[in-house]
Amino acid sequence: MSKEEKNKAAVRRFYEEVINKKNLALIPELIAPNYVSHATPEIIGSEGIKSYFSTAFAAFPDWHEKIDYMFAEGDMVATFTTITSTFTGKWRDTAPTGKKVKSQAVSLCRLEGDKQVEGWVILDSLSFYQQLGIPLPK
Amino acid sequence: MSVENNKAILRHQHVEELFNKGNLAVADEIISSEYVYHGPAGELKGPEGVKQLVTAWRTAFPDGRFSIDDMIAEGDKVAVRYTMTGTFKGEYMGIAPTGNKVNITAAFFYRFKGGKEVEALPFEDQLTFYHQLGIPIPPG
Repeated sequence: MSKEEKNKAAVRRFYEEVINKKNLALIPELIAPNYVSHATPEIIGSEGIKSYFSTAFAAFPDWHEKIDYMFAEGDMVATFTTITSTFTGKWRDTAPTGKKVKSQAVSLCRLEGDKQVEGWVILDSLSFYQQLGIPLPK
Repeated sequence: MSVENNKAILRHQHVEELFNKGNLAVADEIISSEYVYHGPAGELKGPEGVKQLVTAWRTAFPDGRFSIDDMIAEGDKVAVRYTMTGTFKGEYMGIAPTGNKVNITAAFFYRFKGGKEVEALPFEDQLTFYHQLGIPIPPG
Protein backbone atom coordinates (compact mmCIF):
# COMPACT_ATOMS: atom_id res chain seq x y z
CA MET A 1 0.00 0.00 0.00
CA SER A 2 1.41 3.43 -0.86
CA LYS A 3 2.07 6.02 1.83
CA GLU A 4 -0.87 8.04 0.50
CA GLU A 5 -3.27 5.08 0.74
CA LYS A 6 -2.11 4.29 4.29
CA ASN A 7 -2.51 7.91 5.34
CA LYS A 8 -5.99 8.16 3.86
CA ALA A 9 -6.99 4.95 5.66
CA ALA A 10 -5.69 6.35 8.97
CA VAL A 11 -7.57 9.63 8.55
CA ARG A 12 -10.72 7.81 7.41
CA ARG A 13 -10.50 5.72 10.59
CA PHE A 14 -10.41 8.93 12.67
CA TYR A 15 -13.63 10.15 11.05
CA GLU A 16 -15.43 6.82 11.20
CA GLU A 17 -14.33 5.62 14.63
CA VAL A 18 -13.49 8.68 16.71
CA ILE A 19 -15.92 11.22 15.31
CA ASN A 20 -18.86 9.18 14.06
CA LYS A 21 -18.73 6.36 16.64
CA LYS A 22 -17.46 8.62 19.48
CA ASN A 23 -14.60 6.21 20.28
CA LEU A 24 -12.33 8.65 22.13
CA ALA A 25 -10.12 5.82 23.44
CA LEU A 26 -8.74 5.38 19.92
CA ILE A 27 -7.32 8.92 19.82
CA PRO A 28 -3.78 8.14 21.11
CA GLU A 29 -3.45 5.52 18.34
CA LEU A 30 -4.25 8.07 15.61
CA ILE A 31 -2.95 11.38 16.99
CA ALA A 32 0.72 11.96 17.89
CA PRO A 33 1.69 13.31 21.35
CA ASN A 34 3.23 16.39 19.70
CA TYR A 35 0.22 16.97 17.41
CA VAL A 36 -0.76 20.60 16.76
CA SER A 37 -4.06 21.75 15.31
CA HIS A 38 -3.70 25.30 14.07
CA ALA A 39 -7.00 26.48 15.47
CA THR A 40 -7.67 29.46 17.74
CA PRO A 41 -6.75 28.48 20.41
CA GLU A 42 -4.33 25.76 19.25
CA ILE A 43 -5.16 22.17 20.14
CA ILE A 44 -2.09 20.22 21.29
CA GLY A 45 -1.51 16.48 21.38
CA SER A 46 -3.82 13.54 21.71
CA GLU A 47 -4.92 14.89 25.11
CA GLY A 48 -5.91 18.18 23.53
CA ILE A 49 -7.92 16.43 20.83
CA LYS A 50 -9.58 14.14 23.36
CA SER A 51 -10.59 17.12 25.50
CA TYR A 52 -11.85 19.03 22.45
CA PHE A 53 -14.08 16.22 21.19
CA SER A 54 -15.25 15.29 24.66
CA THR A 55 -16.61 18.82 25.11
CA ALA A 56 -18.03 18.90 21.57
CA PHE A 57 -19.83 15.56 21.88
CA ALA A 58 -21.39 16.58 25.21
CA ALA A 59 -23.08 19.47 23.42
CA PHE A 60 -23.52 17.71 20.05
CA PRO A 61 -23.96 13.98 20.78
CA ASP A 62 -25.08 13.19 17.21
CA TRP A 63 -22.13 14.99 15.56
CA HIS A 64 -21.60 13.21 12.26
CA GLU A 65 -19.23 13.83 9.38
CA LYS A 66 -19.79 12.39 5.93
CA ILE A 67 -16.65 12.35 3.83
CA ASP A 68 -17.43 14.02 0.49
CA TYR A 69 -13.88 13.97 -0.89
CA MET A 70 -10.57 12.67 0.44
CA PHE A 71 -7.28 12.84 -1.38
CA ALA A 72 -3.63 12.65 -0.45
CA GLU A 73 -0.22 13.73 -1.66
CA GLY A 74 3.08 13.07 0.10
CA ASP A 75 2.47 13.21 3.85
CA MET A 76 -0.69 15.38 3.58
CA VAL A 77 -4.34 14.34 3.43
CA ALA A 78 -7.20 16.66 2.46
CA THR A 79 -10.69 15.70 3.66
CA PHE A 80 -13.87 17.56 2.71
CA THR A 81 -16.86 16.70 4.88
CA THR A 82 -20.49 17.54 5.46
CA ILE A 83 -21.14 17.97 9.17
CA THR A 84 -24.56 17.43 10.69
CA SER A 85 -25.47 17.73 14.36
CA THR A 86 -28.11 18.84 16.86
CA PHE A 87 -27.32 21.24 19.71
CA THR A 88 -28.71 19.36 22.71
CA GLY A 89 -26.15 19.81 25.50
CA LYS A 90 -24.60 22.89 27.11
CA TRP A 91 -21.62 24.30 25.18
CA ARG A 92 -19.36 26.76 27.07
CA ASP A 93 -21.87 29.15 28.70
CA THR A 94 -24.56 28.64 26.09
CA ALA A 95 -27.69 26.63 26.78
CA PRO A 96 -28.67 24.18 24.02
CA THR A 97 -31.20 25.40 21.47
CA GLY A 98 -32.17 22.00 20.07
CA LYS A 99 -31.50 23.30 16.56
CA LYS A 100 -29.78 21.35 13.79
CA VAL A 101 -26.80 22.36 11.70
CA LYS A 102 -25.63 21.14 8.30
CA SER A 103 -22.42 22.66 7.01
CA GLN A 104 -19.24 21.78 5.19
CA ALA A 105 -15.65 21.71 6.39
CA VAL A 106 -12.20 20.99 5.07
CA SER A 107 -9.44 19.39 7.11
CA LEU A 108 -5.84 19.26 5.96
CA CYS A 109 -3.56 17.03 7.96
CA ARG A 110 0.04 15.94 7.92
CA LEU A 111 1.00 12.46 9.08
CA GLU A 112 4.28 11.02 10.31
CA GLY A 113 4.43 7.26 10.72
CA ASP A 114 0.81 6.24 11.25
CA LYS A 115 -0.26 9.30 13.18
CA GLN A 116 -1.53 12.81 12.52
CA VAL A 117 1.05 15.39 13.65
CA GLU A 118 -0.35 18.65 12.31
CA GLY A 119 -3.76 19.83 11.17
CA TRP A 120 -5.82 22.71 9.86
CA VAL A 121 -9.61 22.82 9.83
CA ILE A 122 -11.33 25.52 7.82
CA LEU A 123 -15.06 26.02 8.14
CA ASP A 124 -17.55 28.85 8.31
CA SER A 125 -18.22 29.29 12.02
CA LEU A 126 -20.79 31.99 11.20
CA SER A 127 -22.93 29.36 9.49
CA PHE A 128 -22.79 27.22 12.67
CA TYR A 129 -23.71 30.07 15.02
CA GLN A 130 -26.61 31.15 12.80
CA GLN A 131 -28.07 27.71 12.13
CA LEU A 132 -27.80 26.68 15.80
CA GLY A 133 -29.24 29.97 17.10
CA ILE A 134 -26.14 30.71 19.22
CA PRO A 135 -25.36 34.39 19.98
CA LEU A 136 -22.29 35.54 18.04
CA PRO A 137 -19.12 36.15 20.07
CA LYS A 138 -18.13 39.84 20.42
CA MET B 1 -3.74 16.05 -17.83
CA SER B 2 -1.41 15.53 -14.94
CA VAL B 3 -1.50 16.40 -11.27
CA GLU B 4 1.61 18.55 -11.80
CA ASN B 5 -0.14 20.43 -14.63
CA ASN B 6 -3.17 21.15 -12.42
CA LYS B 7 -0.97 22.48 -9.62
CA ALA B 8 1.04 24.63 -12.03
CA ILE B 9 -2.18 26.18 -13.41
CA LEU B 10 -3.32 27.08 -9.91
CA ARG B 11 0.05 28.43 -8.85
CA HIS B 12 0.82 30.50 -11.93
CA GLN B 13 -2.22 31.35 -14.05
CA HIS B 14 -4.89 31.23 -11.35
CA VAL B 15 -3.17 32.83 -8.37
CA GLU B 16 -0.41 35.01 -9.82
CA GLU B 17 -1.92 36.14 -13.13
CA LEU B 18 -5.68 36.09 -12.60
CA PHE B 19 -6.13 37.05 -8.95
CA ASN B 20 -2.91 38.80 -7.91
CA LYS B 21 -2.36 40.74 -11.16
CA GLY B 22 -6.00 40.98 -12.28
CA ASN B 23 -5.25 39.61 -15.74
CA LEU B 24 -8.86 38.62 -16.55
CA ALA B 25 -8.08 37.17 -19.99
CA VAL B 26 -6.34 34.24 -18.25
CA ALA B 27 -9.78 33.00 -17.14
CA ASP B 28 -10.56 32.09 -20.76
CA GLU B 29 -7.47 29.83 -20.81
CA ILE B 30 -7.92 27.98 -17.53
CA ILE B 31 -11.64 27.96 -16.71
CA SER B 32 -13.91 25.47 -18.50
CA SER B 33 -17.24 26.57 -20.04
CA GLU B 34 -18.78 23.94 -17.68
CA TYR B 35 -17.17 25.50 -14.60
CA VAL B 36 -19.29 26.01 -11.47
CA TYR B 37 -18.16 27.97 -8.40
CA HIS B 38 -20.29 27.02 -5.38
CA GLY B 39 -20.04 30.33 -3.52
CA PRO B 40 -21.79 31.27 -0.25
CA ALA B 41 -23.84 33.90 -2.13
CA GLY B 42 -24.79 31.46 -4.91
CA GLU B 43 -23.27 29.80 -7.96
CA LEU B 44 -21.07 31.49 -10.53
CA LYS B 45 -20.50 29.82 -13.89
CA GLY B 46 -17.81 29.66 -16.54
CA PRO B 47 -14.95 32.05 -17.30
CA GLU B 48 -17.33 35.04 -17.07
CA GLY B 49 -18.35 34.02 -13.55
CA VAL B 50 -14.71 33.91 -12.48
CA LYS B 51 -13.99 37.30 -14.08
CA GLN B 52 -16.90 38.76 -12.04
CA LEU B 53 -15.49 37.23 -8.86
CA VAL B 54 -11.96 38.54 -9.50
CA THR B 55 -13.25 42.01 -10.41
CA ALA B 56 -15.39 42.23 -7.25
CA TRP B 57 -12.50 41.09 -5.07
CA ARG B 58 -9.93 43.43 -6.63
CA THR B 59 -12.39 46.36 -6.36
CA ALA B 60 -12.76 45.72 -2.64
CA PHE B 61 -9.05 44.88 -2.11
CA PRO B 62 -6.96 46.71 -4.75
CA ASP B 63 -3.75 45.53 -3.04
CA GLY B 64 -5.17 42.05 -2.42
CA ARG B 65 -2.94 38.98 -2.66
CA PHE B 66 -3.46 35.27 -2.30
CA SER B 67 -0.45 33.21 -1.27
CA ILE B 68 -0.45 29.42 -1.29
CA ASP B 69 0.41 27.80 2.07
CA ASP B 70 -0.36 24.17 1.15
CA MET B 71 -1.44 22.34 -1.97
CA ILE B 72 -2.57 18.69 -2.03
CA ALA B 73 -3.35 17.15 -5.40
CA GLU B 74 -4.42 13.69 -6.46
CA GLY B 75 -6.14 12.61 -9.67
CA ASP B 76 -8.42 15.39 -10.90
CA LYS B 77 -8.72 17.17 -7.52
CA VAL B 78 -6.65 19.78 -5.69
CA ALA B 79 -7.02 21.22 -2.19
CA VAL B 80 -5.33 24.56 -1.49
CA ARG B 81 -4.87 26.43 1.77
CA TYR B 82 -4.32 30.14 1.15
CA THR B 83 -3.52 33.25 3.13
CA MET B 84 -5.41 36.23 1.70
CA THR B 85 -4.14 39.69 2.60
CA GLY B 86 -5.37 43.10 1.51
CA THR B 87 -6.75 46.48 2.53
CA PHE B 88 -10.52 46.99 2.36
CA LYS B 89 -10.52 50.11 0.16
CA GLY B 90 -13.38 49.56 -2.31
CA GLU B 91 -17.07 48.66 -2.06
CA TYR B 92 -17.72 44.98 -1.21
CA MET B 93 -21.19 43.38 -1.48
CA GLY B 94 -22.69 46.89 -1.52
CA ILE B 95 -20.88 47.82 1.70
CA ALA B 96 -18.64 50.88 1.98
CA PRO B 97 -14.96 50.15 2.71
CA THR B 98 -13.53 50.65 6.19
CA GLY B 99 -9.83 50.80 5.26
CA ASN B 100 -9.17 47.77 7.53
CA LYS B 101 -6.37 45.37 6.68
CA VAL B 102 -7.29 41.71 6.42
CA ASN B 103 -5.20 38.58 6.83
CA ILE B 104 -7.31 35.48 6.57
CA THR B 105 -7.02 31.77 5.87
CA ALA B 106 -9.09 30.40 3.02
CA ALA B 107 -9.20 26.90 1.59
CA PHE B 108 -10.50 25.70 -1.74
CA PHE B 109 -11.49 22.47 -3.39
CA TYR B 110 -10.82 22.42 -7.14
CA ARG B 111 -11.71 19.82 -9.75
CA PHE B 112 -10.06 19.74 -13.16
CA LYS B 113 -11.12 18.24 -16.48
CA GLY B 114 -9.12 18.33 -19.69
CA GLY B 115 -6.55 20.69 -18.20
CA LYS B 116 -9.11 23.30 -17.08
CA GLU B 117 -10.93 24.03 -13.81
CA VAL B 118 -14.52 22.69 -13.79
CA GLU B 119 -15.54 23.11 -10.19
CA ALA B 120 -14.51 25.11 -7.12
CA LEU B 121 -15.75 25.19 -3.54
CA PRO B 122 -14.49 27.90 -1.16
CA PHE B 123 -14.07 27.58 2.62
CA GLU B 124 -13.41 30.43 4.99
CA ASP B 125 -14.53 31.57 8.40
CA GLN B 126 -16.98 34.37 7.54
CA LEU B 127 -17.14 35.43 11.19
CA THR B 128 -13.39 36.19 11.25
CA PHE B 129 -13.67 37.88 7.85
CA TYR B 130 -16.51 40.24 8.85
CA HIS B 131 -14.73 41.08 12.14
CA GLN B 132 -11.52 41.93 10.30
CA LEU B 133 -13.37 43.96 7.69
CA GLY B 134 -15.11 45.87 10.49
CA ILE B 135 -18.57 45.52 8.94
CA PRO B 136 -21.85 44.34 10.51
CA ILE B 137 -22.64 40.66 10.13
CA PRO B 138 -25.68 40.14 7.89
CA PRO B 139 -28.62 38.39 9.61
CA GLY B 140 -28.72 34.63 9.09
